[in-house]
Amino acid sequence: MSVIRVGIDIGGTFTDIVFIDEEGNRMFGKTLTTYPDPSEGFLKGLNENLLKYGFTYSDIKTIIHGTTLVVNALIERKGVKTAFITTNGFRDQLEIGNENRYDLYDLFIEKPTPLVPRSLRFTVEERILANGEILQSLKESEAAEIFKELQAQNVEAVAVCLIHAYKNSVHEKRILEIAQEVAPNIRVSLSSEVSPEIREYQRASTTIANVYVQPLVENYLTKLEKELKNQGFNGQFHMMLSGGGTCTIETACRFPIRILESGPVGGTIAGAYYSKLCDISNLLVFDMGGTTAKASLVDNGEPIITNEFEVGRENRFKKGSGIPVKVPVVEMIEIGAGGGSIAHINRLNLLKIGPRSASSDPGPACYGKGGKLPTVTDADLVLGYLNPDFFLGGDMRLDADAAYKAIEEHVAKPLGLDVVEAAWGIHHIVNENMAGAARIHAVEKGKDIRNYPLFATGGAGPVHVCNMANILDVSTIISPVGAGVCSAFGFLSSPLAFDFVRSYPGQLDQLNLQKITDLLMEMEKDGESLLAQSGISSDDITVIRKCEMRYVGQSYEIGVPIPNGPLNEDSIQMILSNFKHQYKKLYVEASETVPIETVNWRVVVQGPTPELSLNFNSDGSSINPEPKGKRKVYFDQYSDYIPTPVYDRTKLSPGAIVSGPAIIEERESTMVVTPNFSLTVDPFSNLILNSKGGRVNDKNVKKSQYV
Amino acid sequence: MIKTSKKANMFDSVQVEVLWNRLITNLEEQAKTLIRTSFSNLLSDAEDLSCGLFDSKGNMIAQANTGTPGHINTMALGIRHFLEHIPSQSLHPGDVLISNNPYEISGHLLDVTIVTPIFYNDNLIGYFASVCHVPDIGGRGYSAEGESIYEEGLYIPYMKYYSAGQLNESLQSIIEANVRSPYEVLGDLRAQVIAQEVAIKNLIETLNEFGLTEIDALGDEVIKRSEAAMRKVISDIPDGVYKNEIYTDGVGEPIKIKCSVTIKGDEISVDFKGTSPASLKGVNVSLYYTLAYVTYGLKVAIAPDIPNNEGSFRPLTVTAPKGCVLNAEHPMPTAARHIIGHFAPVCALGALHQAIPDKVIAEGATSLWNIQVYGEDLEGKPFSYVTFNTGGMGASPIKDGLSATGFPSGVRGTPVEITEISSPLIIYHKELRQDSGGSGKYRGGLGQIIRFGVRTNKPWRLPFMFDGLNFPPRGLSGGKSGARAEVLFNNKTPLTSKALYTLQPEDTITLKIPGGGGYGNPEQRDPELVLLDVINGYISQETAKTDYGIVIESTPKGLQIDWSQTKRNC
Repeated sequence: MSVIRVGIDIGGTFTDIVFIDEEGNRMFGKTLTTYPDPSEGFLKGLNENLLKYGFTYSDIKTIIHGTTLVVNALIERKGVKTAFITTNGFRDQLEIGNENRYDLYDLFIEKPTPLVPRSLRFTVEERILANGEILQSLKESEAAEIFKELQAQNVEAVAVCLIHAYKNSVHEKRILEIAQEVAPNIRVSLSSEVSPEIREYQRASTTIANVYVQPLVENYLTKLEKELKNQGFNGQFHMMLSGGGTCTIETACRFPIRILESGPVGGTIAGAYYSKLCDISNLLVFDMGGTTAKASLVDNGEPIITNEFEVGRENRFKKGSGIPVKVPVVEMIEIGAGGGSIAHINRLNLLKIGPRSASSDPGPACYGKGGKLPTVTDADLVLGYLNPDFFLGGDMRLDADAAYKAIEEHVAKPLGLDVVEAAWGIHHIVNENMAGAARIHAVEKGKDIRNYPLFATGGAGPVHVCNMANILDVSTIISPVGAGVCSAFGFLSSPLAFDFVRSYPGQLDQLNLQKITDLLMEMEKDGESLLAQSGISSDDITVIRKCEMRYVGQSYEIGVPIPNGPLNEDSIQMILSNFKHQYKKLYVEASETVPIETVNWRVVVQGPTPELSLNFNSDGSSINPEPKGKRKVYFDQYSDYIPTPVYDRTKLSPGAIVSGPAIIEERESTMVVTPNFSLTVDPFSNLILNSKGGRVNDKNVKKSQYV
Repeated sequence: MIKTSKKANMFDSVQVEVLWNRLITNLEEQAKTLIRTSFSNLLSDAEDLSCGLFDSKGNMIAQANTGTPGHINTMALGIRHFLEHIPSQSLHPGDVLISNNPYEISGHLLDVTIVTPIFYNDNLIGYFASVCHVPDIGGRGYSAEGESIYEEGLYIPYMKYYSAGQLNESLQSIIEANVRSPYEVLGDLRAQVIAQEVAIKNLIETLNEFGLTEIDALGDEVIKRSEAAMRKVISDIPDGVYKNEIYTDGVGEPIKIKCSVTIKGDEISVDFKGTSPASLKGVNVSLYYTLAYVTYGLKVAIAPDIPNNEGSFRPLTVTAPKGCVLNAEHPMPTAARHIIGHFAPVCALGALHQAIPDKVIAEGATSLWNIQVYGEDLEGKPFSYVTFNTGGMGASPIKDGLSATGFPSGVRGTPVEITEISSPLIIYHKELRQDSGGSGKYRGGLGQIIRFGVRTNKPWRLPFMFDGLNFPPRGLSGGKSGARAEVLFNNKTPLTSKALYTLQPEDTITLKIPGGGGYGNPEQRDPELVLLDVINGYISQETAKTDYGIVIESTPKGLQIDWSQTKRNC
């Protein structure tokens, strides 16, 4: 009997399921996410698809799971009653935060409500200095009293974050021991374990978020694991990590903050997988859905990982308005631009799109569900990009007249444009917004976006991707089979991996190499033993080391690869040259004379990358496809509607070539191929779009338009 | 369909939006590069910097979404001063200009402005500029101690920092020889130059893509639209003359800030006649800094969503009598100009409250509480370190004021762990200050209590640049004042707000920073919110009773309202 690997991604609306059998055949499923208990939808969807494809629970070798559970619990403040303990004198670090206004021009901003109210924030006598020395020892009786009090108040979780504990964790560890004696039922997270990095506010915030959701995650995952066993599942059950890689259920329960973005991350991981498969080393993963678009970079076949993340922004798209979380997360930027984003005219009489969204209720005007305001989807419909009779494969009809009227009334008339100009304006500006955000994102990472072909996923991604590419001056686009369940597929391409970090600041030429080597080895040993528990032999383990470094006096570090094994003088020379190389790449020039220092040392310990051999069913497809019809579609390049062939994606087999302009329809999305692109189907059935040469923002065209 | 634009050589609404976003993206790139490559906590953690793009005539078109009004708006007007001294005809590719003129740009010598002309096909089409607060500029350092500009450090006139790509080595040596931390200062100046190089590269790519050869036409369009929108907003405000005055501690004697705000049709003028004369010490404010902050204060109240550029400044005029504290002239000292300068917009906002009560917040701590400390560390190495700290913001007509948040300044605080790892300072206490928020239907934000010392074997020095010890932030519409500030020596002896203190190694200083004023009558505050404030320790039971008329008692179930003793007309 065949053995399958299963990826399950629980999102806000849908639970996506992907099976891959030993021959590499892929099977997709989608079911509605269930509330309040998403594990019901997980099991229901899994059951249905096992039946549909003829498998049983005992056929499952591995399940890899990603979920929005943690992020939703934080946004909706649905965690448990949590308390906070810190050094005497610093009770309010959570509320004092960065002391700034994230929007300079808004007098009425809201800051995020702390997860722990002030009445549950406690302090203990103790003090450690920046160099790790103990200035004042821990008053243990005080700590014990606090835990008694917390027990009386039915507090379920406690975060401990002491000043400079990233440097010396002895007091935090002692507090944990005291808690275990006095109040063994209370869950405790230590900042020195969850996020041992300098900057007290961010570290405290991360530690609190971790323990705040811990009971929820434990309940959910243990229940799910038990249920799966009852059904006859005896394979491995792993969770996706926000930073890529997967972990055991035990680790996920201990550090739930690490699975914060475990769902969306799958899209980027899938991008990384395809980048290797198709031999395209860099990609910009572009995932556009109903309310937001997400962009992330795949660089040399790897996602970019950040250690600075925010969750639950008060103002969804304003940096600095959320709870800071310092754990490794695949770097993604969320843009307030989706199919449902509403177009409006601002006080300068300029056309603006979003961030307000019509979401699914009342929805865009064309949904006919009561929405009257024009959205991006309405513009896409008026421009002929969407087929009113084939939205979700025809399950939902769109009302083109309603879309036209909404744009006419709210955009065209006030601006003195005709409706088509207005619709193109909406489509174009939303693309500009997304392109602008993606470009900034690339710059922050020091990348030139033109070297990043676009990897288009999500319902609206393929509709907008060609025009995005035109703005970004990108000449290649890839859209995979099953773009709609890309995240769940991504899980299956991830190795089992753990990562660790230790702060150990010091000037590069004055480091105690023995001490650093010990530090690194200790982290590596921890990782290896965790992998061993999942049955991975030490021969199959890869260790990747990195150090965050900067010039002495700077505040921002850059990640620099460092050699494995014991460190010696040669390794220091290598680290030095790696640093200068990276710095130059990011910021044009690197100083030869200024001293360099190390801040955080990171280690990733990972198992082997799963082998995937992907088969594709090409029944009924052809390399000389016939269009299923034609319709009038607006293209900027012609400044007009032109009759455009429409193809059924399932009828395109590897080797097929289609020249733009063209529309490729599938059930979950529509690919709009602009006249300056041509499309081929690669051996893995991905759509590969290449620019025909010459930029679309060709000066001849643009001159007439913009000057 | 769009064949050609309807009006030749004009931009339509869509095109302006597209191009403009692109320019702002360029500026963001400039700011990000600067923050990430800088060498001082003032830029990297406090983000005390700004970046702007100017057209060929020196009009500001766009700014990055970072920075602080004292920089952005002074820079907006400052470029023209550069061009008066160094005419555009004398500029060549590779030139970079520099100055820290305190009277015409950002108000004190510590802010250095760097301007890079942008050439496209050998034509000068505009300028990128940035202003950064450098860690030191020599003289008496960051303090109010100087009695003339000559004591306050190195004054760099309008000059070329680079000529056709060649560094002005003489100037570089002069800076190096005159500042206490040349390594950081020169590192940050270099970061400014590089960030602007990156920005120019990106702008030129944008121009190529759109087939443009200059930015003036776009600039004109953006400026025109911003001006029109601004005028429309102003004409919706009832005409009239609205007056206000605020007292600040001053140096030795109080300084009065007095303003009258005149709304007439689609223009606003603010006049500071009646404001106290300049001080002998370095708290004087240049008219440009006053203008920058007042413009900002008016704009956040009346038109937060209109972009900040030349166009949005045009309908606003700000005047102050020559030689008054808000219109300092050479050679008056200005190093600590932020203390008084931050009160100017707050004074104007208070006047505006009479015209648009819904859009104005109560007074807050206003001045930043910048701690500048210098001395020797335990190893005898000299150090000088600055951290920024904030008090509470005033309450608004719809919500409580924000605690520990700067307004009108836009800079950020420095994390305790960063301060302690980068300097010998040790911070013993940094918490919110109970009962410091003014009572009201909406409560003022809380100030902070900060206690600190220095790990040293030698005496250390601390020039105080604090305010609000004598005059508390006032409430609005019946809201009460926030708590006034206190500064304590070794937790008991009160000190005055501006003086240079020499302290012993074991000494500590305690700052009690003001909270914001309340908004509306406290008796109208929801009793449940008063209870929550007591439970969380934001206010005491005493204040609940005296200010809000709500008696809160400890019961076996915790703190609860004792309705029998509570008199409310609910």
